[in-house]
This record gives sequence, C-alpha cells and structure tokens, in this order.
Amino acid sequence: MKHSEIRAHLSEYLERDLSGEQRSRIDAHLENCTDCDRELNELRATVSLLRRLPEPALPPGISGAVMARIALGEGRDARVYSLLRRVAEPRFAAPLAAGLAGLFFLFQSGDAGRSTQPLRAFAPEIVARVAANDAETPFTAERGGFEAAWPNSRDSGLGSQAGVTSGITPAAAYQQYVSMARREEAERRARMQEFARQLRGAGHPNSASLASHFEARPNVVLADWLPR
Amino acid sequence: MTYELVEPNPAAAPIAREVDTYTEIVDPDSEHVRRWQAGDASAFEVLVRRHERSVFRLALRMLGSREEAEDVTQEALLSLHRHGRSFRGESRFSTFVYRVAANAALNRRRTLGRSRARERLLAERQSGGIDLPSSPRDPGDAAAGAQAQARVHEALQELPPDLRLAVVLYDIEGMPYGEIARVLEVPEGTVKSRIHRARNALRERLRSFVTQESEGVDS
Repeated sequence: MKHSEIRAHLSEYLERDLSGEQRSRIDAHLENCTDCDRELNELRATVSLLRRLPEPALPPGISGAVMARIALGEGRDARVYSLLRRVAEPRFAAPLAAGLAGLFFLFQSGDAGRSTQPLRAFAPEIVARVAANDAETPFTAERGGFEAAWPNSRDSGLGSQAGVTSGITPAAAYQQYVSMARREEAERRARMQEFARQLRGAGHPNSASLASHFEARPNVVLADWLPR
Repeated sequence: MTYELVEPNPAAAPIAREVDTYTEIVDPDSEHVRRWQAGDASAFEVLVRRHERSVFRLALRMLGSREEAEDVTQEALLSLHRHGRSFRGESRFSTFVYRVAANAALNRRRTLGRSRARERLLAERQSGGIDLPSSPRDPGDAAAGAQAQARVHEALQELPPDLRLAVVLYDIEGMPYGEIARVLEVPEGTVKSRIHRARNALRERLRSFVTQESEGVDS
C-alpha cells in the first residue's frame, strides 16, 4: 500500500474501525515505515489532547432565563422573535420601547379609555380656539362648530359623554378634556408601572432598559392634549 | 443501552461511547417530550435542564467565547421550544437537540464573520498570553497543561466549521458516527472523512504539543 493510502485510514485504524485484513496490511506497513508510524502516534496524541479538554463550567441561570423568555412569548414564533431580537439590540432599544409604549396605550385605550379616546379628534379644534383667544364663544352649528364638524357625534353620544354640546364654550370643553385626560393618564400610569414591574422581573437581557423606559415616561396622553 | 471503550491506547483518554444501536434503545427523553408536546410546560423545563450543559459545551467549542456560547445556548433552547413540537421521534431527542444547537452555533458563526473572529483571537492572544512558546519544558506542568488546552481551544476555532463540528461531536462529545450523521444530515462516510481531516489539521496546528505528547507516549 502507498503511504497516502495508509495515512488516509489512520483515524479508522485508531478507532479499530477496519476489517481484520485492512488492519493487518496497515500493521505490516507500520513495521517498516517510521514516517507513517510517527504520523499515527501524532494523531493519537492529538486525539488525547482533544479528549483531555476540561469540562467547561456552565454559566448559572441559563435554564431560568430561557423559561422566562418563553414566558414572555419569545419561544412561540421564530420569524417574529427573530425580528424582535434584531430590534432589541441596544441601539434599537429606545425606539422599540417607544413603539411598545404606543402599542400599549393603543390597546389600553380600547378599554378604560373608551370615554375620552374618540374625543381626541376634537382636541385640535378646541386647542386652536383657546390659543386664538376664542375660548368663550360657544360652539354652534352656524359657526361650523361641534355638530357641524362632527355630524356623528350627536348620534353616538360622544359629545354628551364629554359634556360637549353646541352650547358649551371651547374653554369649558378644554377644561373638561384636560380633567378627563388627567384621570385617564393616572389610570394608564398605574398600568404602565405594573407592566414595567413585570418586565423588570422577566430576566430578559433587555428587560431592565425597557422597564426603565416605561417607568420614566412623561405624561404621554397629556402631551398630546395640552397647547404647546 | 450498551457502551464500549473505543480508544484502546492508554495514551489517549478512553471515551465511553454509546454503541450506535438507536433502534434498539429507549430514548430517555421520550416521556418528557410526550408530556411537553401534550402541553405540560414543566416537562420542557426538565428537558432544558437536562440538555443545557451539552448545548453550552458544543456552542463553546464551536464559537470559542463563553459569552457567545451562553447567548447561543439560550437561542438554541428557545429554538428547540419553537420547533420541538414537530419532533416525531425519528431520532433520539438528544440528536435533535444537537442538530438545533449545531445550527444555532453555525448561524452565529456566520453572523460573527471570519474577520471578527480573527480580531477576537488576536486580541485574546495579546491580552491573555496565549502566544505560546514553541515547546513547553515540562508537559506535566499545570501551567503548560493550561497553555496546551488554550492552544487546543484556539486551534479548534481555526478549523472550517464543518470539520470542527464533526471532531467536536466525535472526540469531545463522544457521539457515535451514526448519530453524528443524523445531526449533520450527511452520510457516515462523510463524517469519518471530516473527523480524519479535522484531526490532521489539528495535528499540524498543535505540532509542538503533539510531538511532546507522542514522545511521552513512546518513552
């Protein structure tokens, strides 16, 4: 046998993974070939070095972190999670948190914010009147006021829910809106704190930064309502 | 389940390798897999605890960095949760786990990129003193042993990923050829060939240690 043929089978020779005949032929070659014999010994020494690598210490908390991330929904859909992981990198953490906050408020408003959410559409008009020192002129249909601008408001009862009718002044409506928005803000802030508390305890690498973003959030709702 | 010692030479540490008779053995994970697939979340936690060590070990040998390995271990176990419900028992669950872990490690490796890996190795050499002397004086010395281990660890990282994976699964994880073939989804002959090529490449890269080791064996 040629040297190259012998050398191609040295791993199998070491593993006793050859037929008796093949093994005998290699044995006979090794008896007379110091180069191939040296290579066999070096190969054996290489395997020995590999197998003596120490068992690495397992970092603590891997299984706990994995189960926490699964509880947060990361173990559900590979494509969605892959996207989330990408945007959850530190440079994207703040925009992600802002986006989450937006989604959070959107979903929350469908419930507790039912009484004021539809009225947000009226805010720009009211704020514009207040800013234009036209706050004491009542809304009227003739002036293109409340009912004219929002013809469905009477049917839906939205105006009466907020105390806004044709006879109310923009100043009074403004006070009404601010009062409602502050109450809504307090409720949302409480829910946000609870959400942040749960996030912080979730064990995800980005949990703390996301949680602090929620905790430090200013008056998100009022910022949209108050004149700038 | 039966075991045999596959390394007859005392110079190489013998490794207890499970004989590749998958069809005749019972998968020790099957009960927990069945419970998890039926909706028992606690069964998955048991599986995670049972396999996290082997996943981490494989990730560390494939990536060379504990930080990356820990991250990839979490990713692999989450991936297992996403895809494991479709596991139908065609192979052992541990084989499936290794396949998921290997894919996660290879994907991370591709993401890191060859250039970044080289930069990291260079930085480690400069800061950690892995730039070894050509020949440690006493191979039995603990410091020399640690140096040799560091060099083996480094040499593994220099192998192409397909060769590295094969030799890690065989020589470090102790898996039989057939199971490695199922993990890598290649024929057994390819597995044997990759292991041999990997060993030869390591032999070249670890020349000084290998020479001392083989001389120690001979004497």
